[in-house]
Amino acid sequence: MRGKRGEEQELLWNVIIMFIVLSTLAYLFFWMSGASSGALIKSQVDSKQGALMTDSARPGTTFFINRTISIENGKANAVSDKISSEYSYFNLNKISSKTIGNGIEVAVEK
Amino acid sequence: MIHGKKAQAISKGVMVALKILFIIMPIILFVALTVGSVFSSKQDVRPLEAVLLSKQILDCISKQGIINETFDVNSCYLDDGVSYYANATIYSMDSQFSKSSTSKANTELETGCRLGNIISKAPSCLNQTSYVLISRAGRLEKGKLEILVGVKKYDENI
Repeated sequence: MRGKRGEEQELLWNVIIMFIVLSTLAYLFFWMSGASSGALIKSQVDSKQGALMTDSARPGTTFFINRTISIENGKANAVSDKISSEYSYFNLNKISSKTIGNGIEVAVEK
Repeated sequence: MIHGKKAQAISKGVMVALKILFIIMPIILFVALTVGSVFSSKQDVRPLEAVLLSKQILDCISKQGIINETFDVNSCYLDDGVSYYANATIYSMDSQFSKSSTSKANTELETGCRLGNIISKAPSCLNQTSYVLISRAGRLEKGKLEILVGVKKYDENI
C-alpha cells in the first residue's frame, strides 16, 4: 500500500517528466521553425556567396552585395538573424569595400 | 498539500497527458531529424572554388597561352597555408623538359587529392590539362600543362 506521501512523490515526478518533455518539444518546435525558414544557413550561404564572388572578380570589377556582409583581410563575414559565418577567399588583388545602405560595394583592383 | 480524490484525479490526468506526449514525441523527433538535417546542412561550395582557383592559376602563370619556364604558383593566390593546395606541371612535347611548381608544403591535402574519395574527409580536388606554349631560353616549345588544385575547408563545408 502506498501512502499519501508516495502518491505525492509520484505526482511530482510525473509533473517533472511532463515539464521536461514539453520543454524538449517546445525547443524542437522553435528549432524546426528556424531551420525551415532557412535562418540557420542564411549567414553561411551569404558568406560563401560573397567569398566566391570575390574570387571570381577580375581586377577593375566593382559589385554590390545587398546583404549584411563584410569582405576584408581574406575573409567574407556575414551576419544574419544574429548568426555569423565567415569564409575565406583566395583573390590576391586589392579588395576594398564600403557600406552603402543595407549592403556593401566591393571594388577589386590590381 | 493535495490529498485524496483530488490528488488521484490530477495524477490520472498527468499520466494521460504523459502517454499522449510519449506517442507524439517519436513522431516529432522523426520529423525534426529528417527535415532539420536538410534545412541545416552545410552547402559544399568547394568544387566551385576549385574551378575558380584552377582558372586563376592558369590566368596567372600563362600570358595568352604562353608560359615562362620560371613560373611559380605561390604568387597566384592568397594562401593561408591550410585551406588550399596547388600544383602545376609543364611537360615539353619538343624536348625532355618538364617543371613543376607546388604551393607551400601541405602534404595532407596533396595526399588527400591523390587518394580521392577513399577517405571520408577528402579535400575537393580538380585536375585540369591544357595545351600551352613554353617560353624557354628565347624559344617557344609546344607543351602540356597539368594543374591540380585541392580545397580543404572541411569544417565550413561538410
